[in-house]
Amino acid sequence: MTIRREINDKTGRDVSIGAVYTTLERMENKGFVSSRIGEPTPERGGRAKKYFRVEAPGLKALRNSKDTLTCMWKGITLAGGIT
Amino acid sequence: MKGSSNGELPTFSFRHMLRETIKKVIAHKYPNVQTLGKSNIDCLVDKVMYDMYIGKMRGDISLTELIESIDATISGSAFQKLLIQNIAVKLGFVPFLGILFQSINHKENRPFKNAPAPPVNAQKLLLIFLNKEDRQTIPGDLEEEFHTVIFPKHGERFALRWYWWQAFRSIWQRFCSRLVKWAAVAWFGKVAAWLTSKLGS
Repeated sequence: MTIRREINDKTGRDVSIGAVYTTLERMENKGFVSSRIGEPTPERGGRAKKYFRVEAPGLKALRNSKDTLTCMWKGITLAGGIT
Repeated sequence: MKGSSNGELPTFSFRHMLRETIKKVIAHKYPNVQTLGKSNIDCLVDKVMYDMYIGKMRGDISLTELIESIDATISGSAFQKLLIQNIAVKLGFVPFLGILFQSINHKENRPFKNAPAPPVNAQKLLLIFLNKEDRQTIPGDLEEEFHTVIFPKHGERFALRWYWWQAFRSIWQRFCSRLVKWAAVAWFGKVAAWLTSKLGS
């Protein structure tokens, strides 16, 4: 499952593969993720796959981001009484 | 292979066993192929594992059947195709030469012979406009999605249009965004030079 397909399935947003790689490249430069080139596979026409792994600074940033969003949502009531 | 430090029996991964079997078959039947190296053996491992994945080969295959299958893959044109694939992968980072070999590779190693291939011209465009790091990954991701998701779900016409659209979007994102950055840097450079000349005079 590619990251692009996962985003599409979970959110319904059709992002381009170029946009995904641009974002991942920036995150890699910041040390949030690391990547490695895998082995070539026939279903990819003999091309290699790139695997990404979330590193400790990435996990920390993710937790911070989640906590911030949770704090911002606290006390907000949407129309229809949904809190 | 995972080693054991506390006296337990060592555990072998399926891939490792497959690789060792292939090495033995090659050493026994094709001694001259040994010099081709580890990555060629990995190509064969991929081929056998892929055959199992698409159901062409059973997962509970016996050792004799496996050896026969490897033998059939090595002999004849199948092995030559694997060699072309391997050359294409190795040269993937070399502009132009890599494009040439990847085009041959694409023709020779289509995994789904009855399914349509992704548009060759769109693939050539990707190889020309993408940088060397993206030349392997982006066309590979698109081809995998084309074969496994888009074509089975939406059919040939939609899949071909989808590939072209994704190719253009990827080129725009990866090539043109860099172009805009370079243009911005050049513009700021000109502004800086103009300011310096004004302050100097």
